[in-house]
Amino acid sequence: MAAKKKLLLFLALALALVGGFFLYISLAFPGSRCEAAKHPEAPEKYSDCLECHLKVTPMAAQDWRESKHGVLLVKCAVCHGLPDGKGTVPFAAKPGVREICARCHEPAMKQMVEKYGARLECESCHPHHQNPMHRKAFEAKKPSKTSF
Amino acid sequence: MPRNHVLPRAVLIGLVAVLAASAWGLSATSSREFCLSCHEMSPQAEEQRWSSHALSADKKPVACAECHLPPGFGPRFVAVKIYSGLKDAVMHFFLPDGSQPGGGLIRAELQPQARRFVDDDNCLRCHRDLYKDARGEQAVSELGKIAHDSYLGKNGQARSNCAGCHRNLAHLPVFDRRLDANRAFAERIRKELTLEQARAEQNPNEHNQKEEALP
Ligand code: HEC
Ligand code: HEC
Ligand code: HEC
Ligand code: HEC
Ligand code: HEC
Ligand code: HEC
Ligand code: HEC
Ligand code: HEC
Repeated sequence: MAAKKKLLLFLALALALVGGFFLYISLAFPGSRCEAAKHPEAPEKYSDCLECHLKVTPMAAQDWRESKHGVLLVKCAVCHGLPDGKGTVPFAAKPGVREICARCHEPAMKQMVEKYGARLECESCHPHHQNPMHRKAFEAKKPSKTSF
Repeated sequence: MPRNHVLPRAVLIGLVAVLAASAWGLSATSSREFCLSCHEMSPQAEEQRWSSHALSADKKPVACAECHLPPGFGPRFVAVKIYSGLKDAVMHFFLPDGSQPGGGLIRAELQPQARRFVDDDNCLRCHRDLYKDARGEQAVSELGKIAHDSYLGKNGQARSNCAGCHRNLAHLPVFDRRLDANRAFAERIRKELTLEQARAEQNPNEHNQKEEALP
């Protein structure tokens, strides 16, 4: 009986140690420095989001530039809004499909809904190398481009 | 000596021995040579040779651990050591092609994990003043100042850590060579590696010797 109790105690202790270790790892090394990110204010630079973003989020910026949106100059602020909230659409890190994309793509989306049903994960069909927006823009479950 | 004094002493001596051995083990397993004892790590090392972080300001080679392990011997260091060490060792035996250089690593997926564990304190050890450039001589560029303000929370608040904004500091996988931010680094790798290849083709034996000496 005592041996069994000791074993249980030992197991519980080991479990607590391993659990504590992973808890520490996830707390001490979070995937992102903060939940509520705030955009730096630099209104005089907002006319050229790309220049700054090629340095602060190189992947997102370059994927945009190589996409059809970049080639046709559908600018950052058209989808994301201006960081100070003075744009035509509210500032959002992840623009909504229904609110933003539909403004230009209503016809194409209607066609697709007829053919395939409502599928909001655009990225799964518009393949990677074409970089429709940013490569992984619609893999919502992946870590965000501004987390490291 | 009474018996009940021997046990505590033995335990104490054992403890000291274990501590000494683990201190030795911790530093021995932080060397560049140790990292390169696995073939998987050789492309990263090869790329680092042509990066801006091959040599420190006083011209010493920068060791892997200077970026990949938190500084000091505190809990952060030990935690990363155990976590990464176990993961590396276990994956070494489960990867399909562990005997090849870089065999089986999916680098695009490793990058975010690596960024998570590259401590900002490591970078700050060499780059003490965020408002100076890389050599600590001139002021950082205007964009750099805004970005670092946002890192410090003085103007907005960035999500990224140092390695989150400054990507591909030491390594440049092929798929990242197209990025604008990496143009100089990519150019250097392309030039130097073709030079080495040409040299190797002229003198295949020399190449073999070098291959052996590398890891
Ligand atoms: C066609 C619309 C569109 C345009 C134009 C566009 N983006 Fe995006 N962007 C998106 C969408 C959609 C996402 C959301 C990705 C996701 O869900 O992870 C996104 C994500 C991002 C993110 C990552 C946010 C996060 O936390 O994950 C950044 C940074 C970003 N964009 C910057 C830019 C910059 C800079 C430009 C211009 C150079 C730009 N975007 C142009 C649609 C756009
Ligand atoms: C300001 C209008 C505008 C907005 C807003 C917009 N797009 Fe586009 N999009 C375009 C234009 C223009 C093209 C190029 C169409 C063409 O080539 O025929 C395009 C092309 C595309 C393509 C096809 C790319 C390819 O390679 O064929 C996809 C996919 C796409 N957009 C997705 C989105 C998504 C998702 C959003 C919302 C985040 C969005 N767009 C928002 C204007 C817009
Ligand atoms: C089930 C796969 C699938 C999904 C999901 C998907 N698309 Fe499409 N999309 C297609 C196909 C297939 C076409 C070509 C349609 C045709 O020619 O009839 C297309 C065409 C388009 C076009 C026109 C491209 C051009 O070059 O003219 C746009 C724009 C577009 N899609 C945007 C989107 C957006 C925005 C989303 C997310 C809301 C999305 N797609 C999600 C399959 C998909
Ligand atoms: C036992 C062989 C081995 C040794 C020794 C080794 N690595 Fe690795 N390393 C690996 C393998 C295998 C992976 C891939 C892990 C995976 O696929 O998840 C890896 C992945 C990594 C990663 C990617 C990020 C992560 O957390 O997985 C980093 C960074 C890394 N190693 C750094 C180092 C450093 C620094 C050293 C020296 C202190 C080192 N490695 C020594 C085998 C090794
Ligand atoms: C200047 C700091 C620095 C040094 C020195 C350094 N690394 Fe890295 N390493 C990074 C950063 C930052 C990343 C995150 C991915 C990126 O942005 O390139 C990384 C990513 C990695 C990865 C995973 C992603 C990939 O590119 O495969 C491995 C494995 C790795 N390093 C191994 C090593 C090894 C082995 C050494 C020593 C030869 C080393 N590193 C030296 C900073 C460094
Ligand atoms: C061992 C000291 C050392 C460490 C650790 C270190 N650096 Fe550096 N860094 C240097 C030196 C030396 C240079 C090159 C200066 C020059 O151009 O002569 C440099 C250059 C740079 C540059 C400019 C060149 C480029 O590639 O863009 C950036 C940005 C940078 N470091 C950021 C970082 C970050 C972020 C980290 C943390 C992951 C880091 N450094 C870690 C010593 C270090
Ligand atoms: C929000 C993004 C961001 C973060 C986080 C960040 N930086 Fe920077 N950093 C920049 C930008 C943008 C520049 C300016 C680059 C340029 O002008 O080419 C810069 C410039 C630098 C330079 C000078 C590079 C040169 O060419 O001389 C160094 C060194 C540097 N950063 C180190 C760091 C260190 C260390 C950290 C972490 C404590 C850090 N940075 C965090 C965006 C960032
Ligand atoms: C002077 C530099 C600079 C300029 C100009 C700039 N940004 Fe940013 N942006 C940043 C920094 C720094 C971050 C934080 C990055 C991080 O957290 O890693 C950021 C983050 C973002 C994000 C992601 C926000 C989040 O919550 O993750 C979006 C979206 C964005 N910017 C859009 C824009 C748009 C649109 C413009 C142009 C109107 C613009 N930016 C102009 C520096 C800039």
